[in-house]
Amino acid sequence: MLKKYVTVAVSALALAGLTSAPVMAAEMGAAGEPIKLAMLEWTGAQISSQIAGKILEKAGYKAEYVTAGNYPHFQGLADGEISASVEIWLNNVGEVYPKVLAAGKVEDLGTLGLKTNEGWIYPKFMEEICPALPSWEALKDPACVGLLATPDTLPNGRFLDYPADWGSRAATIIADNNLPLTAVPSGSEGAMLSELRAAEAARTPLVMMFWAPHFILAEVEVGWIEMPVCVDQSNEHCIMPPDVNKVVWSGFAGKWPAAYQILKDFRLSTEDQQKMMLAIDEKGQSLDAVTTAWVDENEAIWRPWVDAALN
Amino acid sequence: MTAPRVRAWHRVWGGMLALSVLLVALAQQFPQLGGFPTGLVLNLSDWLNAAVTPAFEAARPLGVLLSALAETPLAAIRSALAWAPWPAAILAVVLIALYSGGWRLALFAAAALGTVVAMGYWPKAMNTLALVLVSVPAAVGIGFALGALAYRFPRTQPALIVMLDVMQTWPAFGYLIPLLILFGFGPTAGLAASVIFSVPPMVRNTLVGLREVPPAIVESALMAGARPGQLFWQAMVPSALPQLLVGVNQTTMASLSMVIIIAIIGGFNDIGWEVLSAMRAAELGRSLGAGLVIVLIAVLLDRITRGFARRGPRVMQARWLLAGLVLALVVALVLSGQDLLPGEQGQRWLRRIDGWLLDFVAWSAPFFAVLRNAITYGVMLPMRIGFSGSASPMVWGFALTPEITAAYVLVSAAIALLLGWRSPQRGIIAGFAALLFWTGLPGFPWPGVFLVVGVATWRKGGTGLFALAMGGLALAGLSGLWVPMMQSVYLCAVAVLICFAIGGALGVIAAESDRFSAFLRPISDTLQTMPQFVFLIPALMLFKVGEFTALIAIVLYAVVPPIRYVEHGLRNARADLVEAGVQMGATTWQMLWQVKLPLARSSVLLGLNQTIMAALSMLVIAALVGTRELGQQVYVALSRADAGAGLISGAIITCVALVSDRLLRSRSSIHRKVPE
Amino acid sequence: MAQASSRIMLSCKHLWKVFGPRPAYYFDTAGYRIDPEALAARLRGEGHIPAVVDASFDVKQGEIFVIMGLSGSGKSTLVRCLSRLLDIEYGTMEFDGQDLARISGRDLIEIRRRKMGMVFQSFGLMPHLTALENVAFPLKLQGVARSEREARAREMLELVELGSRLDALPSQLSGGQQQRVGIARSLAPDPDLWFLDEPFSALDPLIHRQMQDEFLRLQNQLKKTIVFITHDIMEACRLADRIALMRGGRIIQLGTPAEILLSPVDDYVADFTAEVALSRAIRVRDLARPAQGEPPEGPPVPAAAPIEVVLPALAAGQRRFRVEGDGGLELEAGAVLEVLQRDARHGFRADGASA
Ligand SMILES: Nc1ncnc2c1ncn2[C@@H]1O[C@H](COP(=O)(O)OP(=O)(O)O)[C@@H](O)[C@H]1O
Ligand SMILES: [Mg+2]
Repeated sequence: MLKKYVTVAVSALALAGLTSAPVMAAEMGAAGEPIKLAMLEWTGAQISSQIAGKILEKAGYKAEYVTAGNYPHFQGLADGEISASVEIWLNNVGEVYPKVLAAGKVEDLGTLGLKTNEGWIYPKFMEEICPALPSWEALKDPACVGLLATPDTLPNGRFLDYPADWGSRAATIIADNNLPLTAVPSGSEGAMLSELRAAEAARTPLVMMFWAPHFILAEVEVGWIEMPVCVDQSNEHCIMPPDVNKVVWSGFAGKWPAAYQILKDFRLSTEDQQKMMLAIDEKGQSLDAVTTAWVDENEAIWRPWVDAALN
Repeated sequence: MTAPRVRAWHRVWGGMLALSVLLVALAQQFPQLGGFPTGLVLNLSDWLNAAVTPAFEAARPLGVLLSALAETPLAAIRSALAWAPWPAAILAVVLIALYSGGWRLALFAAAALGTVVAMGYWPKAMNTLALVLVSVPAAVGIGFALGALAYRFPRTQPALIVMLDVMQTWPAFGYLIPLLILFGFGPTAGLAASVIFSVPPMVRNTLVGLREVPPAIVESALMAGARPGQLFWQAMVPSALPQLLVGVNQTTMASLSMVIIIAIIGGFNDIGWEVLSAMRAAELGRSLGAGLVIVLIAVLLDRITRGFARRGPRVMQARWLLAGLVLALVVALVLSGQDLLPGEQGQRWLRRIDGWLLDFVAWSAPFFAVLRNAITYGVMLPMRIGFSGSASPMVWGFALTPEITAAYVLVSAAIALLLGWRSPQRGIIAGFAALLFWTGLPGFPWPGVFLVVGVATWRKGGTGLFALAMGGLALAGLSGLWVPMMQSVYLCAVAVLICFAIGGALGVIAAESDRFSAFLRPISDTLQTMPQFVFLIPALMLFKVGEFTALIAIVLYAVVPPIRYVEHGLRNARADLVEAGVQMGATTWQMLWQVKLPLARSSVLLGLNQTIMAALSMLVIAALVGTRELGQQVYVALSRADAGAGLISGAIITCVALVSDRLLRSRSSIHRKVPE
Repeated sequence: MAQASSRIMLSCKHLWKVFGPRPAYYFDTAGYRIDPEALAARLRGEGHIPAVVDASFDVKQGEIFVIMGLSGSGKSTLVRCLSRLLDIEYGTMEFDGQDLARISGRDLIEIRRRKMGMVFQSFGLMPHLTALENVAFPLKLQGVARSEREARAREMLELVELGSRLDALPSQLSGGQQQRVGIARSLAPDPDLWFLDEPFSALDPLIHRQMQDEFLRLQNQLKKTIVFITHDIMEACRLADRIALMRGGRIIQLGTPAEILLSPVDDYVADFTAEVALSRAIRVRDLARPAQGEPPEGPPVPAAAPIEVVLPALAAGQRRFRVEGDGGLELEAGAVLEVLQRDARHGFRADGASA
């Protein structure tokens, strides 16, 4: 944790330096060598990555997209096999990332600017059967809990938790508040989405852990449970919106100084990302077309980043 | 085996039963007899990490060299395939198919590849093909070399066979982390995993092929004055060629089934990646489409390699094939650089499937909820928490009163004695069954597990197997994975039971009816080649996250071996004996139970064995729907990049697989014969 | 029929071949071998199979030497020792002046390439090669150029009357044709010593005789030194110059067909030969003796013909027959009648036994 504050502080200092001396333009560096951007599994990250790459291309760099699994790709970042990954959810980085960050093999470039959310959700129709929703008190109501119960969890209601390998706090929070729920690990993101879709389609009750932005939220109407007051503010007992940061390989700044500056300034708004996700995942448009359109339409947003780095 | 020895063993097992009853009774009082005592758990994974991680990091230069060696041809093939416009590529493949298998295969190739293009998966499919084109030759080369060496030095064979079994049963996710440390991020680590998994069939087939070269061929070559090298390359290898090609074929299939593992690491934008992304987004249509591409590639490669293995006349001569390939190259040169790929239409079509699935879910949810509850209450809960656990008002509607306990004890003792009166063996089996049904599989006292497994392995396999089994159990206990291991065993056991009930019945019908058999075959093929991830989505929607869905996923995959082996065994039951049965006036039913099934016994046993292997291999994939067994531990280790924990979980799965394999397999049937 | 010279081509003394866990143990000192029977019995008692027991014989140049015995008597093992496909436990083998048992690997390959040929009961053809390529195979191993070796192979196939099936794969040929290919292959390098291990046993009985005729025709042309294995006494008698009869690894009698048929050493051999129709198996030259007094009247009978050829004339009252050739030999009716009487006795005994 301390380490993270240090990096944030360092990048803040760097940012300050940049704004106070805008004349110091960065070198292009090895512009002939492609910058390899990670394409992680989920659409949001792929959008962020494509947009970053297209902006870098506008600045005169070559971008290459490398499909990569979330956990394994930290090893790639540390080795320089992957140059940058622009949408890293710090609540789900496994144990390699902290290690390689501590070893100075990767560098955290700060937030991507997404407004994130994390918490407990339920399909909206449940407000009819559990009128106390969205308040967490609804989960103490035996009638409501009975609807959630399954053979595995009897007599408790079933709470669909994050997959076991993501790490989770639902069980602690359930215990903190004496809720009659049993947390069941979901196994994978696909499993969570399947359940949510099926719950919506068959109108079966469901309460689960989830996060935003996510494309499914445009497809299924959900409510966010108003959580009880945290026992304490620690990560164990309290859900806070996760940080989503950009991370580059430690040799990045030396090799592509201007690109480094651009990525550092790079931001993407939740609304824009959500719109693009919808276009891709629901309307079936191609990733390339959607992101190219964004870059074409939003020059006002990204041009200053490029100019600041190059001039 | 002589009668007195059999009787002695009955006494031993009777004693074990008594001891187990005692343990179960004592476990009520002393919980440390139930689950493995946590006090004994050691931090094995940290120790292992301390040893493994530095070792692999030290070997890093070698890994870098190897990955350079692997990635150069990979990149070349990949860019060649990406460069070749699809009409030219399809033309080339169709010609090869025509040469290898004739017109029907050529037509199939055209249709299959056309489908791939139409679905919009061509570039990804070509990337997958590039992976296969690198991993298969590597695996075939290594496998052939190992098989030839083992043939030359027969003393190494027993150790090698064990190693091959380990390579095939150790879940690849379990050693992905060390591979990543060794090779770094990129396709090489995945390729290595794929090679590890697909080498064994090549070794086995090489060994069998060389062993079965007729002695007269070897002798005639020697008498012709062949030097050792000439003998091997000019006489033995060509004679063994058909068997070697079977090996190539099986290796190719194994390699394709590992495409997904390569995709977990990423870096290649291949079809496996598409399957994973679709699974992640829970999109059935896309994942079905991508899965279909894998199936089509698998079937195509399978038929083409088999066609080459065939001896005999061909539709066209080799030189026409060559001319055709040159033509394809010309077409490629003419068309290159043009954007010929179809748009997004195919993908949009695939997405419609999701709409249909959701409609079906909405329509059928009540029915499947009932099914799920029935099986959960009736089968899974009793096997997991036992009669003692399920007899509660919440589950079965009555509580476990002392009267009910007494009744249970009395009834099961009576049944065991009654059966034991006629045949001690049955009585003992009934006793153990009653005991297991009382505690549930995971709740069986751990010293009892050690005892029972110890005696069984000692008797069947001697010291080696005994040591393996005890080592596996101790590893599970000491690393704190006792409960996940027992959960895995329980889940697999339930799955195997269901698979045998369903698959056995289907196999029996298929053996009787050619039509049904022909109908079943493509379904079996698809179930075995389609990436399992695809089935997870509908199963999840119908049955929700949890063990039951895992069970469904396992059953879908592991149901194929019993179908195949039961059918194979019944169809190959010796005709004269069957005729004798008919002549004696047996009814159809009597024929089946008293003549054919006993005759098919060895095939059925082999099928059981393969079912267990298939079920165990699905554990890791089933973990994606939320289970609490070893497969899940493998994922947790993967996400934590905990090489040690991954290796330990994998090792326990391998131990379970090897021990159950050796227990079921008689010594004579070491070489597996897979029915086609 | 063979005209064996007196030059010895292959000479074996006290050959032993034992299968089992540690055969060498029994041969490290000489003492054990004083009584071969006793050693063989001991070997059997201690889990070994003495497949060849103290075999000694010479094969003369140009001779057809037949090794005969029931299946399992050690014939194949013996011939595999002679060709060094198996290593012997004890004994000496001299081939063409070389000590075959102790020859180096390189020399052995050289001998096999140029001086030995072998035909196998199960043919041993390479399934992936055509008839022509199979026959050319030994030459290919020697590095003979393609055109040359194919010309030679073609010639060999013509010799066995398969000139029209050059491009057939073994699987497309009948058993008899496959064995002709096997014969052609073994002859391709023009060997001096030719081993045939039950070459016709796997074939249909109907074509045995045809193949035997062909074999004799070839031998008349080529005049090889031949070691021929068979379990068929009729075949042995038709082809052999000399027969070695094996039982349980031992050679129990060695002699010309007539010696074996007419004076079997023991009951086993007698039983073995009982079924043979002597009038067909015994040849004129076996009973011929130098002519006494006036040379007999009438046309001469061929020396190699079975004695049954004289039966019509015998019935007509002729008592002495001139034997072809300039040895001044004659065949006397009494000798023939004696043989015929034996035949009749055997027939009677066989009938009696079956009655
Ligand atoms: N490789 C071997 N290992 C062990 N025993 C063998 C082997 N080859 C042959 N034998 C035994 O040696 C004996 C003689 O066999 P063989 O020479 O094949 O007989 P034949 O050719 O006369 O039928 C038989 O008892 C046979 O079982
Ligand atoms: Mg033989």
